[in-house]
Amino acid sequence: MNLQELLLKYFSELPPDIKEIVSEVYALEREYSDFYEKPRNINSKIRDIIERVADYRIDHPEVRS
Amino acid sequence: MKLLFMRIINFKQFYGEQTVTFSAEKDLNVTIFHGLNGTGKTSLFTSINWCLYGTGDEGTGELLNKQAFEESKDGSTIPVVVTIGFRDKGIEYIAERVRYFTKRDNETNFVRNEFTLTQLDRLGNTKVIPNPEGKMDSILPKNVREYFFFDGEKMDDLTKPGNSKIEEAIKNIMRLPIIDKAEKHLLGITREYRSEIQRMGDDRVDQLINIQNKLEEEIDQLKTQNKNREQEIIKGNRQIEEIESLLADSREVGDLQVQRNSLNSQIQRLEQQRGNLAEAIFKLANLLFPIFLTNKAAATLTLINSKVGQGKIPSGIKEPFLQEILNKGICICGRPFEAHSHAYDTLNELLQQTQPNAFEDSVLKLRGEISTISRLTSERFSILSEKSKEYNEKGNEIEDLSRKVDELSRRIGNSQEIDISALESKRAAFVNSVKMLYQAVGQCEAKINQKQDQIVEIIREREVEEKKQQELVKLSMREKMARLSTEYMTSIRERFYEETRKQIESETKKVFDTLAWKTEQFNEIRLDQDFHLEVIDRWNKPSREEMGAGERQILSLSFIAAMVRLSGEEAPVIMDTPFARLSGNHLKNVANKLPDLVPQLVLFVTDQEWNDSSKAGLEPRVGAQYQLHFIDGCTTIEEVPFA
Repeated sequence: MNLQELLLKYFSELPPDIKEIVSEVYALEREYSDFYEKPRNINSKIRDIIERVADYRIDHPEVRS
Repeated sequence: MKLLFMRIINFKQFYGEQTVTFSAEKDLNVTIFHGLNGTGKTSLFTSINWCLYGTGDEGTGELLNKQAFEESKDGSTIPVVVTIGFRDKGIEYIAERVRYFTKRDNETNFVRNEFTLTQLDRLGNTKVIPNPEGKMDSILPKNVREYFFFDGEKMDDLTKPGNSKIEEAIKNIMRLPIIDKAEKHLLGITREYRSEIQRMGDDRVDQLINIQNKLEEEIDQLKTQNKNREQEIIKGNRQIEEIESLLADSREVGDLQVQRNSLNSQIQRLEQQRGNLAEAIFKLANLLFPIFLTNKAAATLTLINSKVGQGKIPSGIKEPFLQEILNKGICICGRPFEAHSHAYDTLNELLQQTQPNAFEDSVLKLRGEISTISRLTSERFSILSEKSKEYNEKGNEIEDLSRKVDELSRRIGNSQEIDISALESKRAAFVNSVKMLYQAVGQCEAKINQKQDQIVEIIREREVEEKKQQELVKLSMREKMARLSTEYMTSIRERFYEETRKQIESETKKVFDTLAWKTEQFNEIRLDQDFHLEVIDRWNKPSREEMGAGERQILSLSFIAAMVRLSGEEAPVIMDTPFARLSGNHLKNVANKLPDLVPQLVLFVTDQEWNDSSKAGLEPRVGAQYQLHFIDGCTTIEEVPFA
């Protein structure tokens, strides 16, 4: 197993909601690192990810994480 | 990423359009470009960097081929083109960089640069990538490229002591800053949500968040303190290891000194004995002067014995003889006689007539003395022989022991006199200091746990309070998600950094052992918490500074090969003058093993580098090779057919 696969394994071990946020934030950071000089607007994109997951949890209390 | 083909047009000394195909098969993953100095190997190497990243041409002179410039008309536009086809994660791409020049008044004028990246599918459909530079960076980042495309002669720079290239390489190749940034951004957003809750919430919520913030701040401080302590513990443990190694050395030297002292005492004793023997031999030799008369004495003794045998000596009847007969009263014929008998009187008369003969007595006495001296001389000579033998044996023993003393002295060499008890005290001081640091870490962790428990309580209370205020419910959940994501990201970062460090250490050592030849010289390759690389030698001492350029190149190669395997990047390793600093077993090992350690190898070699050693190792893995010919100011690339 190479180290990138190991990192993905660490992500896969997280609780579902957190896994969703952490994996997406990591992918976003990687995209910014590869494609952009400055992390412009990255915070609002991360907030979008968090809010989507958090709001879904509130709106769908029947779905256990 | 694997290179498939390349086309160059009017790039530096490469006139017109020329193409090469890279070998990308698993078993034939080596492509070689042969060329003498000045034929354009470095230019071709530069063209790969220039095409994919737009760099590498700085300070290398004019990019446009001079012949192409000469042949073009005034006012015309001349393109310099490098096109590279490659495959990454099963997708084929064609990267093309073009620099346009115009010719005016016999001068070149730069017009513009173009870079395109086109994706090809299996059916031949193409898709032009909208952000080619960014995409290229995502395939093989610019800051990572330098660890895969490099000049062999400068390769040892990577592991030269005093620079931070290894640390940068690990962070860049493993993309560690991405995790750092993700953690940092998540933490910032958590704080933003918390501030929003404070603004919207009542006083109790505000108060609870303030307490929580304060506790978190205190935990951060405690964690920083513990991190520093952990560094101190590592340093302390290293100091202990070094002192222990020094102590072991000192004890060894001490043991050798004891052995040497004992041998010197034995030598002294033997020399004393040999001195005594020499004295005895001298005395014996002095007593042996008659040995020089041995022949004469023997002749004299023979002469005397002969005279005695003939009855010439003694010449008459000896007085003691007559006296003895008279005393016994028995004649030599055995008849007894009485005193004053006729026989008695006759013998008495003869006795009165005997004259003492001093000469004959002396001769007879001399005969006895010669016999005694001969016997003594023979005995003394035999003792002298034994003593001389013993003397020589002692000499040999002394010589043997002196040789051993010399050998011990050589081994003791220039070892400094070390105060073992001072070292023991120093070691004990470090051991105690490390113990105290562990204790402090434990206490600090207990405090952290206590504060974390308090935070859990506060969060529980906050949730209750925030639920009472409907408008805070969503915000509270968002803050919770952001906070938990930050905490998990921190935990992943810590685990991933540690695992990265351990795996690079072990993989680099594994590769180093296959490439280097003095492997028993180097015990361990160590990366500390900040990824500073150190090579530990067989004496448990850091030795990176003592490594030669060739050994450092092997270390660099081992590190790169380890990174290639661990990063999961399928990047080609492209080396200009790869073997210039290597010779002997290093060269042989690198040529044999390197094709197995990297996914694809492209080498630009001189005729000197392509020798029996490199050829034997690499040739079975070569899938394509080219010869660079420099004729009339331009280089032509010619494919070398396989025999």
